[in-house]
Amino acid sequence: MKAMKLLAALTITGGLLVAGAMTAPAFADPGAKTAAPKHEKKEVSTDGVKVGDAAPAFTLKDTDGKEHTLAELKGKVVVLEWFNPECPFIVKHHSEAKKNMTFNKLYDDYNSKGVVFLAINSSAAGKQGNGLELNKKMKTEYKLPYPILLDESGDVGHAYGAKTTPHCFVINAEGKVAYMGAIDNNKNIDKAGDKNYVKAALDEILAGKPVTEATTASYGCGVKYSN
Amino acid sequence: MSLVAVAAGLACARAAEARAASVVKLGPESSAVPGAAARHAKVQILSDLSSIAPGGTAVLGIAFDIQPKWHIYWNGRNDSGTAPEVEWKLPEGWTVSPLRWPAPERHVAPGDIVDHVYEGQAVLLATLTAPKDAKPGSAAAISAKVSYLVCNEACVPESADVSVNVNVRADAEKEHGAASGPRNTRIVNAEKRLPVPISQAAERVKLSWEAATATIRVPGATRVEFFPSEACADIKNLVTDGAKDGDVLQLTIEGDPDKRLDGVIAVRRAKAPSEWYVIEAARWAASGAASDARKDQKGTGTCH
Repeated sequence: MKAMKLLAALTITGGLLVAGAMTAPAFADPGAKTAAPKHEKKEVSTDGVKVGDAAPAFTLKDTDGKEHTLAELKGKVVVLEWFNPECPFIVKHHSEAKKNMTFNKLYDDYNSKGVVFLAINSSAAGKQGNGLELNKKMKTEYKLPYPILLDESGDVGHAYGAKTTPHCFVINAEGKVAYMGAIDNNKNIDKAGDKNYVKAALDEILAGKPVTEATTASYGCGVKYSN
Repeated sequence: MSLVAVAAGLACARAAEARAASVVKLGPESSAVPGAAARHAKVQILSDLSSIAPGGTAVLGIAFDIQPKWHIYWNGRNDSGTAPEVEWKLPEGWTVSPLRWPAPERHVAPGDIVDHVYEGQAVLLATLTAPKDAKPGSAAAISAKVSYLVCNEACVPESADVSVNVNVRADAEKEHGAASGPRNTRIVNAEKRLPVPISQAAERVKLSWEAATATIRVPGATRVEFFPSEACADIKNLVTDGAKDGDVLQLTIEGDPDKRLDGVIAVRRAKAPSEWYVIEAARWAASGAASDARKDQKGTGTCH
C-alpha cells in the first residue's frame, strides 16, 4: 500500500522524489537457528527522510489556492512545519492565549534573512484539522505570516516521514534535509521550551556550520493520515 | 462461616471501597478544540486502604475511566502524545513517591506512528507516607491536579482536580497488613500490570546480543512486544520489529552508541496471564563481542 502511495506521489510531482531509504535488515537471519515467528511480515517502513537526504519535491496548494513547489525555492533555506490547527501542541505554539507564538517569532527573526517558512497540513479528509475553510480561518486567527499548504492525500507527509504536528524539517540551500524533529525541548501543551532546535539549526546553517543537533524526537499530536 | 458473617464481611468490604474512593471534583473544562463536548475521561484518586498509621504508608491510585475508543499515554517513548502529569497537593509532612506506571498497550496509527497507550480503565500508582506525628483520629485531604491528553483520532487536553480523605489511625498496620481490611481492587489489579525487573524472569526470558542486535527469546510465548522508554536507544524499524507473534523478538539499535536498550518487554501466552518485564540499560559488551547481557541485568542494571 505504501509503495503505491509513493508511486502516486512520483507521478504527481513529476520531479525527483527521493523515497526513504529501503534498507535491508542489519541483523543476522534468525531462520537457521530459531523457529521463525508465524505471520512474519517482511515489510520495512519506507516512510521518511534522514538528515543528509535530498528533500523530497512537492507541489501543494495553499489556503488561497496558490500553488507552491519546493523546486521554486531552490537555493533558499526552507523551514517546513507539519501543522494541524486543532492539535493542542499547535495551539500551544500558535495561539496568542498561550503566549508563546514560537513560530511567529522565528519567522520575524529569520524571514528577513531569506529563510522561507511553510506550514503543511497532512490531515486526511474527515480527520481533525482537515479542510480548506478551517485552515483559512485558523491562519487568520493565529496571525500566521506564512502559507498553510494542504496535503490531504498525505503523500508529502509520508515522503518526509512527518509523524507529529508540529514536526519540523529544515532544508538547506543545497536542498538537503539539515534538521528534522521537534521545534523545541518542552513537550507539554502550555509553555515553549527554553531551547529552540530549529532556531539553533538555522543559526548554524546561515553561518555555514554543520548542524550539531540535527535530529531530535519530535513531539505533538499524530499526523492524521488516512487509514 | 455463617451467612451473617459473610454478609457483614461484604458490607465491610463495600464500605471500605466507598471510603477509599475519592470525592471527585471535576476541574473546569480545558479543551483547545472548538466546540468540544464533555470530557473524555473520568478521573479520581483511590487509596488502597481507608486508614493509615502515623509514619505508615498507603498506595494511592490516580484512576482513569476513559471513553471507549479514546486513550491516554504511557510515560515511555511515543511518537505522538504526552503522558498525564500529576501535581500533588499534600498536607504538611505528607509525602508521595514517584508514579508507578502499569504496562500499556501498543498502538500503531497510519503513518507508522507507534504509541503506547491506556484504553478503558487505567490506574497510576504512588505510595503515600504519613508523617510520624500525624494525629490518630484526624483525616488528611490528599489532592491532586491531573492534566492529561486524551485522544481518539483527535487529541483533547483535559484536567481534573481530585481528592481523597485518608484517616489516620494508630492501629492501622505500619506496613500493609490484613488488619486494615481488604485493599481497593482497582489498585490491586493495576499492580498486577506493573512490569517486574527482568532478573525475576529467570529462564522465562532470554536476552542475547550480537553486535547491535538484541534477541529476546521467550519460550512458550504467543506474542512478544517491546515498549521503549524515553531513555531507550533508537530502535530500527520499531513499527515492524517492536512486536511479533511467536516467541522471538529481534531489536537492532541505531544512532547514539551510548544509549541502551531500556523499556518494557510484554509477553502474551496462550493459556496463562500476560507478563511484563523491565529491561534497564542493557547493552552489548564494549568490545562488540557477543555476550549474554543477562549477566548485566542482575541487580542494578545501571549504565556504565
